[in-house]
Amino acid sequence: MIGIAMGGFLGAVTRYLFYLLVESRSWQAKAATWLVNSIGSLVLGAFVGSGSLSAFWITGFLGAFTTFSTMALDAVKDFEDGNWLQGGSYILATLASGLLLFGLGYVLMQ
Amino acid sequence: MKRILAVGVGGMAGALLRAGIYMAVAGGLGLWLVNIAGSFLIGVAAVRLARKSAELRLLVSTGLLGSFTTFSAFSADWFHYLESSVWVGLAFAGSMTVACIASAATGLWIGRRGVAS
Repeated sequence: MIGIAMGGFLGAVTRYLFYLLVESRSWQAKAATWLVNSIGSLVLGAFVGSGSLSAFWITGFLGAFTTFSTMALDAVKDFEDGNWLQGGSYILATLASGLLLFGLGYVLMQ
Repeated sequence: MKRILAVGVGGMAGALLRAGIYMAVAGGLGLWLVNIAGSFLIGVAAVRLARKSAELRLLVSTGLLGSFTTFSAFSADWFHYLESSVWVGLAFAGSMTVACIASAATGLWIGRRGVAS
């Protein structure tokens, strides 16, 4: 419980640091979200592949570091602005890299 | 510093709430619940908190709802579904994504309706 709380604190703050690294133009914020979701999926793959059950890292840090709601909201904003191609490719790129990187981490650590 | 603390405290609450829902709901249903509910609420918050302080937006949207929902566990579930069947994997990823996008759109819509009236 304390592990999840601490992991959640640190995971969210680390995600925020990625947003601070980019200017908050909309495509750059999406690039930061894409980056945290990709890195988080890779690291989770490594944890799962190695058989780790760390609540601090898995439920806490990585769960909070990655985000689904921010991705969904940014895609909706793109769609509302008529940027169907940008929103659609953002979603597809995130889904694909998340899956591939999770698989990579999983296979490497098995 | 205040902003980092806002994100961190929100993130801690979001992770604990997510863990609570995982414990309360059996199987993979918990992930559906947190991602759909969180996407809806971040849409509402985007409208309702637009004119509030940056700290409150960081606490609620970036911290709490960003951490409550999660992408890493989604990638893991998708990977495992694909291992059993390509079609089940694609159906899982497609329906989760569409459900969350529809939830965020609904949240924005409801948030705006409340503001207008």
